[in-house]
Amino acid sequence: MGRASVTALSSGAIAARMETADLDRRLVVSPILDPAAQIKPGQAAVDVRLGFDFCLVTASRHGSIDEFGSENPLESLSELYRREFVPLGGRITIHPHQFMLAQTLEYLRLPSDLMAYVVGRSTWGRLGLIVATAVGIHPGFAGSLTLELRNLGETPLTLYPGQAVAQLFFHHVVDASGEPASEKAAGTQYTGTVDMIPRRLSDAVTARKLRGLVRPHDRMSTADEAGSETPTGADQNPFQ
Amino acid sequence: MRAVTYPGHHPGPGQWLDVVSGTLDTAMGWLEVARLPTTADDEALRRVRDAEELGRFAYQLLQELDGADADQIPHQIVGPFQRWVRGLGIGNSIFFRADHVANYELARFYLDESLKNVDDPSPSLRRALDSVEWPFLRLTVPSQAMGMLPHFAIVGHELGHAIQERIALGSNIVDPTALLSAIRRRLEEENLPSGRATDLEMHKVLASWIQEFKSDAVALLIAGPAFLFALSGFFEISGGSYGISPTHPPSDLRRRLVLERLRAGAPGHAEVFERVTGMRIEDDSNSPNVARLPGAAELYSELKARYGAEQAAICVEVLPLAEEIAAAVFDEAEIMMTRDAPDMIYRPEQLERDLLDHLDPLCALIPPIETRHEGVARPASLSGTLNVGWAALLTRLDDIGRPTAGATGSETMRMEKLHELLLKGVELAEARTMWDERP
Repeated sequence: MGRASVTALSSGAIAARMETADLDRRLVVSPILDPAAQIKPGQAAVDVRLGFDFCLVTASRHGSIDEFGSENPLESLSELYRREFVPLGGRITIHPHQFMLAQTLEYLRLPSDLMAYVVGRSTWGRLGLIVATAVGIHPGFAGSLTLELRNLGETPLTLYPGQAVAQLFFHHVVDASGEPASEKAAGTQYTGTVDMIPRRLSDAVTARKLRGLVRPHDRMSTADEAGSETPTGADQNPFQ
Repeated sequence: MRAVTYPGHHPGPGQWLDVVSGTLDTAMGWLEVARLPTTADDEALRRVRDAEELGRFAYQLLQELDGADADQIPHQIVGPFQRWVRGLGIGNSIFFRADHVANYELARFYLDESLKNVDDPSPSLRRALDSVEWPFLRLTVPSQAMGMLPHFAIVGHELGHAIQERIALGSNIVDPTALLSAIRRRLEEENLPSGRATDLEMHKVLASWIQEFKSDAVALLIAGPAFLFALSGFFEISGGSYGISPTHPPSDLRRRLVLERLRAGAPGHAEVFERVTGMRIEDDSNSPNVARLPGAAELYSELKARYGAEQAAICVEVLPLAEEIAAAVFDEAEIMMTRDAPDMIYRPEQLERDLLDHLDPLCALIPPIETRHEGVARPASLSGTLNVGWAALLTRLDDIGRPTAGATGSETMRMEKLHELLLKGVELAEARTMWDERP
């Protein structure tokens, strides 16, 4: 195999990687409901559509999402959202300044030598809809992409599952010697079909170190502000 | 409840709610009459009481819908189930729900007969009753099955119950005289009486067993080996008992009959499955703890303790004929399906294509959504996904997730991942199918 250059894949190259029989090299973006519209010749991206599952941010009893200040940050994360299933043919309205999570209709699996960026389509952007903020997708990712939708406009927008909302741009990933990368991101947080709701904010080492560094007084006062019923005695603090 | 999202693209839940609304409207109409100054006191009191009863009945109907919304039943599977319903030519109104019960169940509701005859039915009730294809069907899946998608192959059996009348059997399928003589002899040995009632009970047991064979045959035809694995798994988690009762033939016999059919043909489903996966399907595959039937004397004794002498005698004497009866039932079911729903038959060649197309990719975290050949995409079928799911579960579970997640993780975690991938596959294959159906 020749030395790979760090380039974006053309639509032809994307289609070829999706067709390859070699599972280690196959790029999966599936289903492509309308190949002619989603992988346009002469371009360098795949259009992806809005999926069926949404998470709407709801009012919460928690004062803030505070990884080290509340007794159970995972609980506060899950309580932040209300799930909504919208079938193909259904609709959901995003109101001005509302934030919600959505998924791509397409399932994505990146081989070890490809990464991707997800970018909102400009037509939606002109209406005020921001589609994705965490735009980088690492090699080895397998699942439906979570989109962070926010309506920055002044008009409610009605969204339909199946509408093309974003584009994926693919780039080669090379190793230290400049060859196509072959190591997958073992142990990455998102692998396989996963939930939209985040499971953690920091990796284990960062969380442990920061938990030790955050001053106990700050932790307790934050917990009190959040209305937590956590006992305030230092010996009972689960994060100590 | 109308604001709730009911998954699938079928009118069932809405029709059910229409019946409830119409029932309540009727009750409200009775209350209006009770309020009229021209209504006599005793008539008014009767109307109020009747309205209360009808209102309570409407509430009961609402409870029957519990478990049908997208939060309670995996919404991904309802659309594909509805395709099975349509493919089998089941025209009845239907909805699907999940419940905390042990068994799958197909319930039939004949509400039209009772509600059409109430006094002064509201126009909305009349409309609702007229829009339903009666009996209204409700298919319940146990919540425990929701943890692993391939178990849903059992739904094929329940749908088989909805079309069992179409499977015609000759009247000479079994000699009732000889059978009845054997039952009477057994009862006489214990100085127990037998007569016309025994005759009727014998026919009831026979009919019930035949219905189970018919439904097994339909499920086998539409789901192939996935049905055997799901049925066996169901027997296994049901406690590993013999399964024999006046309503059901023994589990051991049922799984053996299904396996014999899977082995038929050249190549049959079993041969294809073994060729691709390396696993030979045995009669205790996925159900090693299901008890094999004991001898007739011991079986009679056990059944007698549970069901009484007459039912026990009937079950024990019907048993030797059951295999013969079942063979005829399976043949007739195939004739019916070939005639009425040939596209629904899951054939060995399709099984081979599905396993070759999807099993390795599934282990590499690619769900069975579609296959692409020369640029043309074909959505995966529910039957294909169920079979690929079982193949992965039984033969490749250790490989699930290995390409990206490493070989770590418990068996439970790998099973959860497999379930997620299969659900995603079913959801997106259905989206692909719906898209392709539109001009």
